[in-house]
Amino acid sequence: MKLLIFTPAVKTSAIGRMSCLVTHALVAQGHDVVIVRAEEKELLRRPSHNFGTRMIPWNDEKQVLDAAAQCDIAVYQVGDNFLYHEGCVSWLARLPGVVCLHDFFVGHMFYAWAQENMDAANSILKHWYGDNVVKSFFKYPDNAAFIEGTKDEAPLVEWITSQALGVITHSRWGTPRLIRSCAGPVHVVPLAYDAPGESTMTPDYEPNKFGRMKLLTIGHINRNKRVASVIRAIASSPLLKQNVVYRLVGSIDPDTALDLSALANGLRVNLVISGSVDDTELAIAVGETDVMSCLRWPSLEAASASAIEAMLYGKATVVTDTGFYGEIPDDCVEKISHEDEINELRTTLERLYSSPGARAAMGERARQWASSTYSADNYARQLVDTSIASQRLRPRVIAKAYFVRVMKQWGASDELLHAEETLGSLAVMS
Amino acid sequence: MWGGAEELSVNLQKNLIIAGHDSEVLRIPFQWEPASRISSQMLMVRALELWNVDKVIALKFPAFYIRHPDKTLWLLHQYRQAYDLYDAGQTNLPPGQEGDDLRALITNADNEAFAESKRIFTNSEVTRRRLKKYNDFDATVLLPPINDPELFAGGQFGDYIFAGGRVNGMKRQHLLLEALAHTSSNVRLIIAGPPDSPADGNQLREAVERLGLGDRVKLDLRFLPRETYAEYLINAAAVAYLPFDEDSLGYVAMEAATAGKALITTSDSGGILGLVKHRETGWVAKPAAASLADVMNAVFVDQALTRSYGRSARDLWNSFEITWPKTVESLLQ
Repeated sequence: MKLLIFTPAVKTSAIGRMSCLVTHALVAQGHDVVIVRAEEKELLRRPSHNFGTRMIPWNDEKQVLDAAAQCDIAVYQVGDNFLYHEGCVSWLARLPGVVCLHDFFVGHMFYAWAQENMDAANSILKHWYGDNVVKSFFKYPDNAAFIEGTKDEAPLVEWITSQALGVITHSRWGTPRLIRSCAGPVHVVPLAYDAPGESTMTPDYEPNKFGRMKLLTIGHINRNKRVASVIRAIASSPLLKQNVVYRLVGSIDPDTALDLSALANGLRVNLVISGSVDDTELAIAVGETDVMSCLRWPSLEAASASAIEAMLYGKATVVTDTGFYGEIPDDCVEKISHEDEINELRTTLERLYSSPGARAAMGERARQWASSTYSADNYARQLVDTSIASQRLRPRVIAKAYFVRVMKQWGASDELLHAEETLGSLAVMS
Repeated sequence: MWGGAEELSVNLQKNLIIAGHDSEVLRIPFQWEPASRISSQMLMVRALELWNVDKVIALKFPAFYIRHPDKTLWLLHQYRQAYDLYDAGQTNLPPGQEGDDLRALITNADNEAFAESKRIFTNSEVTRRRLKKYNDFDATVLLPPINDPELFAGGQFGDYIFAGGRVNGMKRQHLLLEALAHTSSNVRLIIAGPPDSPADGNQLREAVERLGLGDRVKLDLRFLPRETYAEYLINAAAVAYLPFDEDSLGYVAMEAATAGKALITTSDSGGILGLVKHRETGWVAKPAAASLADVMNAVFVDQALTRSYGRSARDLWNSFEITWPKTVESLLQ
């Protein structure tokens, strides 16, 4: 099969890294792949992952059209970041294909896209969510309010998936909206990921070295990674306060760093903020740690690369019992309820501190399960299967779209389009 | 269903073939009830493609939604429940928003179909006016010719008034019976044709019984052979046809005029008024038993006058020059 894959390729993109793994697996399975880099113009100049195949930029229209004419299917790796996915948004409507959806909320990407497409954006908001959302969507005072106000009512996934021939996503919890909005198949496939730093991991890892349990959070440090709650949980336990070092590795804005440092200092919690590091240093940090914290609230992603990475490295991992994390087997991670976050976190961390053996056993179970589940080979095979299924369904999708378009030209109201009799007559094409 | 439109389509096909063309009739199923299924039936027709024919002549809703680059409409029926019958409170569309949505859908779809048609003809002035009023499209009236004019020659001036065609409430044969009860005892009436439902037939039988008209009325309520129907018509003294606000002249009236029979109708009967000129080609009564009784009496009071009305009706009809060769020529322009 010949696949044209639109994806961020820049090294800082986790989706780019995943796409790269899948591309190598596809090529190994005998398929042809052309990569269309989807980042915004400035990022296109930056170094990319090594895809080992032809790569073209999304904004070179002639090259993209020529490549599209030669391909069997277009594939779009889509996450909630316009800077990384501008090319996907730009081409999806023109060249429909299979969307690999990494987040069940793409409101930030939509917001950024809307700045140059306000009329279309308002029309999309009105179509999917109604007039009230149109009035409020662009008026939230800050990001936290924006997420809180839109994550349930207007996650905008429908905007993307309604344009797709088929959808692959990586956990089940957000799929009902996708099934309603995408006319083609919707498949759940575990994210492809690996543990690239395994070979550089500290060979002399020692649990609770110097009597201290190392706790680690990685990735871009923001509110939804629950760092403040972790600090408070540690502070609430004399045992943890005395024996836990909590480290943050990943980009963090200065205000957040200041706030968290002040909180930790005030509560006498041992917090280390390392900031951004290279891949080797990150692998060492993971290798050294005893426990990974992958808490999230709200959880909007279809899968978490850092949680998968933690499991692939065989680390005991603490997650919030929600979304993607809730679908991980119970014996592979420690699940914390958001409603009683600090208390549950405290007792869980105390138990993990006191039982290095049980901790290691859970990490090993997680490693084995994650290694067999988050496989690039499996992802590549399922991507090809979904592409074939989407192509087969395409005539039916086009037929249904034709009838809906005719009804709309005739001024059909939403009520009429959703009437049982109308849906019944279109069901013959399902 | 087999009615005037179906009959017309078969005769149009026949006359297209006579004119040297290949022609087929494509009948498209359509059911009014339930109204909620109307939109899906409209869609079905819109999806039909007839790219292997040179020309499409579409006659009625929703058949005129068929796409074709050379489509001519000979409009016999719009979906009147969305237009004038809606205004008259005689619609089958549901009340409230749902009905409003359906009505808007039908109007928009009709407008789209009309706009893409090469030419639009209507079967009557009433249909033309309705099209202009509700959809703002102009059309040319192209009255349908009668199909077997040879059957309507000869005959006598008989001793009865004939009311032929389908029997139902809208055709108001019962009103003729009510009127007959008010006429002189020498006035007789033959009502002949298929009832739309058993109840329609029973209503007439019950009226004859109730009004004591058994010796002055013949009810022949069935689908008649054409020859039998023509026999009734050409031997009548006059022909009565009083539908409620019908679009077209009506085959019964056109055939009666061909046969040179004086015509009786009512002032609210619609298209037929194009052929019935009061005291010229017949009589236009008020739609009430007493008024109708007066004109039914008049048929037999001065037979010479009645015959002259019949001749005038034939002359008027002939002046329309409505023949199949001319009709085919117009439709293929």
